[in-house]
Amino acid sequence: MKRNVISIVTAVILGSTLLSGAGKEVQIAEESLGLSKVSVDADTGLVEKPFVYKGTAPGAGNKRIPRTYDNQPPMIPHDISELPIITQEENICTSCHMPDVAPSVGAIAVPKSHLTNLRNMTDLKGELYQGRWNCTQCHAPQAELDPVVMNKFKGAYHKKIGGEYKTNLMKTLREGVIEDPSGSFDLNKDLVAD
Amino acid sequence: MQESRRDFLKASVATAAATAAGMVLPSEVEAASKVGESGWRWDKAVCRFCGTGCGVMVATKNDKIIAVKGDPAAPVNKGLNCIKGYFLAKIMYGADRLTQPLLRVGANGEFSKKGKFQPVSWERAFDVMADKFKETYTKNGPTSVGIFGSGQYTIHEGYAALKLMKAGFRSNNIDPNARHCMASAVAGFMQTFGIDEPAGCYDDIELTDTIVTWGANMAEMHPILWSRVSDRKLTNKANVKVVNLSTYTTRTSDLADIEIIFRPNSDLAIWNYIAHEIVYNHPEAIDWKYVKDNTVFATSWVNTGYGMRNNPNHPKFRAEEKDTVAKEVSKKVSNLEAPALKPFGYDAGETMKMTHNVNASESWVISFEEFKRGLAPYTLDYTARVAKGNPNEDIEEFKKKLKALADLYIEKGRKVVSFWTMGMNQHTRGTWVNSQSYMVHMLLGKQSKPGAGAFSLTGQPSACGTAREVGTFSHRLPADMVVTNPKHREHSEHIWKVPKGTINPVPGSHFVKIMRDLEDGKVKWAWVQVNNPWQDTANANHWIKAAREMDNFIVCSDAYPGISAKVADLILPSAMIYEKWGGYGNAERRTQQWRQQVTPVGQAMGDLWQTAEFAKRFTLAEVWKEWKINDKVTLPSVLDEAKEMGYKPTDTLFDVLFANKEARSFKWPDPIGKGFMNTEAGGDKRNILGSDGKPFKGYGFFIHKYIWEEYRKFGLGHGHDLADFDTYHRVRGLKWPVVNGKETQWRFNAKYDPYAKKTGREFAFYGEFSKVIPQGTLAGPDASKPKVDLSNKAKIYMHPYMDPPEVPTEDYPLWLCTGRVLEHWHSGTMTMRVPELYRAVPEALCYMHPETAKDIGVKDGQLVWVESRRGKVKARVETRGRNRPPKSLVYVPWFDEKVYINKVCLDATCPISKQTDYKKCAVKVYKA
Repeated sequence: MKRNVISIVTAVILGSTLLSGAGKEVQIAEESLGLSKVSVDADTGLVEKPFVYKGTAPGAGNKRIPRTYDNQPPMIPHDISELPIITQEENICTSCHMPDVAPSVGAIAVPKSHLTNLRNMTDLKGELYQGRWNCTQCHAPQAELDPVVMNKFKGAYHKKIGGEYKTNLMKTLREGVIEDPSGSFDLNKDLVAD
Repeated sequence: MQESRRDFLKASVATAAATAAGMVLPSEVEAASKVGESGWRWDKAVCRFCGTGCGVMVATKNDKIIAVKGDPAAPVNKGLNCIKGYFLAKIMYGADRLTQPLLRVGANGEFSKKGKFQPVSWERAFDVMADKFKETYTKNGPTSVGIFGSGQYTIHEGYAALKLMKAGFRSNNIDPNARHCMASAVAGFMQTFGIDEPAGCYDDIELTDTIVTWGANMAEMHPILWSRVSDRKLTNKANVKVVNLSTYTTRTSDLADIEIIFRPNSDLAIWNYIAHEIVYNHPEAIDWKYVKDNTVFATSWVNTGYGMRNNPNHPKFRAEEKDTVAKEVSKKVSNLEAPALKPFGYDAGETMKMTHNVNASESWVISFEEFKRGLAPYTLDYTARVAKGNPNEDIEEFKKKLKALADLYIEKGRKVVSFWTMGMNQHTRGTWVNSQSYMVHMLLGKQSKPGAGAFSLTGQPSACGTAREVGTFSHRLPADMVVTNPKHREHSEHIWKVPKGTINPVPGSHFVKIMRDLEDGKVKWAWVQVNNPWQDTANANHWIKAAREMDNFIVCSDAYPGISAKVADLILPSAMIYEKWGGYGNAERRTQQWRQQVTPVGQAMGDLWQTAEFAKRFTLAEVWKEWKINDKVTLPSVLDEAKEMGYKPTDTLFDVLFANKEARSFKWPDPIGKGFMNTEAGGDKRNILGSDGKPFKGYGFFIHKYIWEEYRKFGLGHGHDLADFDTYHRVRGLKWPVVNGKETQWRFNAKYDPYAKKTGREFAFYGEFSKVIPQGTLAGPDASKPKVDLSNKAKIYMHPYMDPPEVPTEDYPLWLCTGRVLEHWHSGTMTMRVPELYRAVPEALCYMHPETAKDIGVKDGQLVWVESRRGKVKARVETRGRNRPPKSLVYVPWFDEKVYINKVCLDATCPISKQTDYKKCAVKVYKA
């Protein structure tokens, strides 16, 4: 078992670093570590080619990007660079993604969790919770790039509800949540009683 | 503002209704249940990233994290996270996690500074690390070693490192990256109130009418707080006003009613303009009862330098650097700052000799008339001339905005919260500008009240909890105590059960100074814990050379190989957030703890374990002997006293500091950890070969609980009370002081703060620091007058506008500002390894105005050089992105090691707080 752990560890290093020397000891050059495979003295670690974000304009048949675990906020599969910024007055995202519009334009509707104020547990009857106005706080476009370093995370989904494209946070939000049974540290409650 | 309490109670009812048992939930929300998806275990934890301190629920299965969600029971975020918070699930699983110690070795297999890295055992790692430590420590003493600590340490880790350094090695050379992040906030609090950390809490957001952000892009840097602000604003559009003050347009501007783009450093002038409006034009707005009962007027020296080296001819400087550094010694008063400095006795063109750099914090009481005289220059015209930051903006339009800002603060009965973060903290007059916020709020009586107050937000998850409260600074001890105060040392020695006289009374080197000491060969051994100093410290070309070309030994403990690992001599693999028990303290004084969720990867071990294991390598005889610190101070040997206390010279620091009788009384297993592992206490399934080469089976006692229970003794009874360990594992955090089981929402206000109530006053600024000070005028203190006792009072400071040490000129015509982006955390070592976050922002871009791009002859996506007197980097141009600077400024974030922007930044600091100003230096930008 121990041998396995060590060999896995070594394999990771072998797999992700440059090697030098033919001896049995692994030798790792500092340049091979980290995200920019250059010396710390170099003036840049950038490549010449600029990155581009996935997708075309919204509503043009962009392919959904799968979730990687239950309830992960989905990433944006379309181009947003030409869209107006979100201001007090205007939020272009809502013009396609609110449930009353979404089906007609082929967009994904925001789920019920977005139409609820979780802070005071109020059903906003179809209105967007204004604390979620800044959509890009959770949802971001994705560049057409391979990650510099792979990620070995393996997410899971609720078998009967969840999945890469389906979720129900309202059903699972409080699963596993144990609150202080005494309630003795709920200061707001104490103040009201005061 | 009598109505505030009623409003507050109203707001509380809604919150209480949602948190009390048996609440009515929307029909879709299922009741809380212990049982969930088969095989999943949910547990409460805390976010790893910013200072907001969101609660997260972590799901594990088969010893791996499989999902996370916002904790619906956490008062901070109530079920919502930001994009980084949602990807906490993935941060531990990057393929290049460091999994074993790596040491630079030469051809003979021995350590070699010029060698390549080779995997070694923990035993060999500690052997070499201790040898190299002893090599310099024995010869050069406690000032020749240092620790770069962190505002991302768990509280327990920071406490252990502090105790090892200060009680063990008798060295004060431990300083956190939080020095870069909120030292000015600390100094502002200490100078103004005599005690650290905010008076208010996040409930202020729902209770206020006005949110003013000063150098705080909350939409990206404190997203969940911004979510609360958004809801407050957008559901009360007519009444609630949001104003954003920044040096460039941000996402925070996008929601604001008023955006004020100001010239870098001129926030100093704008605060004074507001005070000028109050004092000269709206004296009826002054809350004289509040001011007279609770405050005095004060000032401090102005000719204090800029925290640079005091020798511009230091041999390590490049020729180009010297002009800027010369301002540490003296400078010409500019036309722009001359009117502001006139009341302090300076004229335009006059040479200001920097003679108070060392005692920059010295303060004295002045009269209201003197205070008023200092404010006289800040007319709307002068302030607009100093402060207009967008060359394309009409000055009359700009003036209207300044006036509107002042009117909002002044409006009778309007509650105002001022938030700030790095814009005001990373500032060569950071302590001043922090104090100025309290100046305005206290003049108006809008401080320490629900919904009203100046509120310093913190950047890091435990900058408050660990760096500040534990005191992992070069001058500090826990609970706001300092090494220079004999009573504080004695109290600490008592709690630590170490001989009287053990603690070194001479403050150590702060973060930037440790770098400079490495460059000068004064520090020869440094340990990096939970941060990335070589990526996060300005003027990095110097520090790279210091690490690689000087005779020293650098240890870097990290989870992923960042720039600091690349320049280190020994890399130690650290366990990450949910691979260990821990606790953090957020920006509203809320302390939160979590349990270990999974086994660390590879041979990685927590920083607490690494510190404790290192302590095993030292006997008391080696560390508690006599040490010469400098020409004036020699620490006596305390070995005789140690003997009397029952210690043997052969006892190790581990035995004495971490595994003493009291420590061992905290048993493991403990009911609070039922069903959870504890690698430090009980070992784990890996049976890694420990520092002695034998399988590590755990300490056999609950070291985290011991540390907590010992640590909280420091704060009990004097304003820093924390609850016991088990409580924090039951509740969603508590805001200290926690007295009689109750947390405190608004400090210094007798209605809410038991310490204030005890004084019998309505308000009591009961901090004890700097409470007996001289009297004087703007020119200086007057030794002929008696000192004033300021017990329970705060100071309203008069500080003038001054230029920063480096401003754009013909050669370097643009301002450079650096900072973060929403999707990446700090130096990006974690978030750049999450594919979704990497793809969201794969590179640090150079954000600039379209006219700037046109002038340079570049288009979006093309490469430019960003060059200062200190260094240059390449970055890609962005003119339409989330940050939209005026044509006088460019913004380049620092998360990306491919765009190593700290090679360009200036390492000038606030002379009081020693915090670096990352927000302004002069650069040229040209096509690459």
